[in-house]
Amino acid sequence: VVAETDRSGEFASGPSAARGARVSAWKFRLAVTLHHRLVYRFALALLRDRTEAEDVTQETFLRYWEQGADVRGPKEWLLAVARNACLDRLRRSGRTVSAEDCVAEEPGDDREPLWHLQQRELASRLQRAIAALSEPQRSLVVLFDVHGLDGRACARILGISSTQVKVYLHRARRRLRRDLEESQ
Amino acid sequence: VSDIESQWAWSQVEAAADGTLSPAERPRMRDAMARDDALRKAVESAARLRRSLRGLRADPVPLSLGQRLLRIPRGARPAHGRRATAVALVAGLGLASATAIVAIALLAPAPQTREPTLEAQDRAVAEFAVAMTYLRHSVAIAENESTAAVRGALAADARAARRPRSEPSNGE
Repeated sequence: VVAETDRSGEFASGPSAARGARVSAWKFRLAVTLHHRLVYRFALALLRDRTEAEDVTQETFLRYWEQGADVRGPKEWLLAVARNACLDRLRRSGRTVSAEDCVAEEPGDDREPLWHLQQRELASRLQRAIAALSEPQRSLVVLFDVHGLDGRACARILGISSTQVKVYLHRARRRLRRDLEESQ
Repeated sequence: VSDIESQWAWSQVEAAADGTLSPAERPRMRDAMARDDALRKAVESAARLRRSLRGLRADPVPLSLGQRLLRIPRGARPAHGRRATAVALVAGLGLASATAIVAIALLAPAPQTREPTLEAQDRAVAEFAVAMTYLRHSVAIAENESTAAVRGALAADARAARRPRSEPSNGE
């Protein structure tokens, strides 16, 4: 897992990030407080399984605790490590998870129940379409479009150029639009 | 001209959907969309996709996950190996026994030290993050001001150097 993880992005070139010392307790707590939700949601979007997403999040932060002393950008480092952990799991098992398990829960409001139903169906279709994308388009859509990271951060996490980010994003969105239109 | 305009408009579908067109480009795009129904539908479809993707991030995060992650440092093994662990264990046991004996001897009540709750620690960390953000901004402002001051001083020096000097008269 370590070897796989270190392939990712600019973090592959930093041996200190791979075999570094423990991060300080306050830095660790800060990273957990600021980034654990994003790491979990990113893992959930890739794996579509809550239990596995929690496991990956724990593995990622454990690794940060044990080796993160020299990490400069914890957010991007954590996402890169989480992504590779997710890809390892997906490679090891060819299973598929029902998208309905992962549909976002809508907050209560005054809208019609039909609206909520339509939104859940749309989210479900969208998650299936994202899951059908190839890497790195899938990770890119989740990081850029779902979580709003900028292009440079995505490029660093995925180990691709800014131009490739634009190209992959364009292709991914075109494919998602087509898939959604076909499924309607 | 119309073909060029149409090509430009189709190349900007995603920018229009993202709302990242410049103020100068927006009316141009609006005109193109008014002329081309397919283009308008494409922009609407891209905008719909963007809204839907943004909606996906509302996935709830298990409340216990953050607590479990914060416990990682407590549960992790020490980094210096088994021997050090054994030594630490023996030393710890010895220290605990000595403390217990002293405590019993003095019949003192158990110390009432209480660790701050995880919520309190989280609040402190969040406050620290805000403080660090302010600090970073202050540093950036101070840097800008000092850079401007240094540039001003250098420019003044340069002006002074360019100014023709009045040669001291030797009386000849």
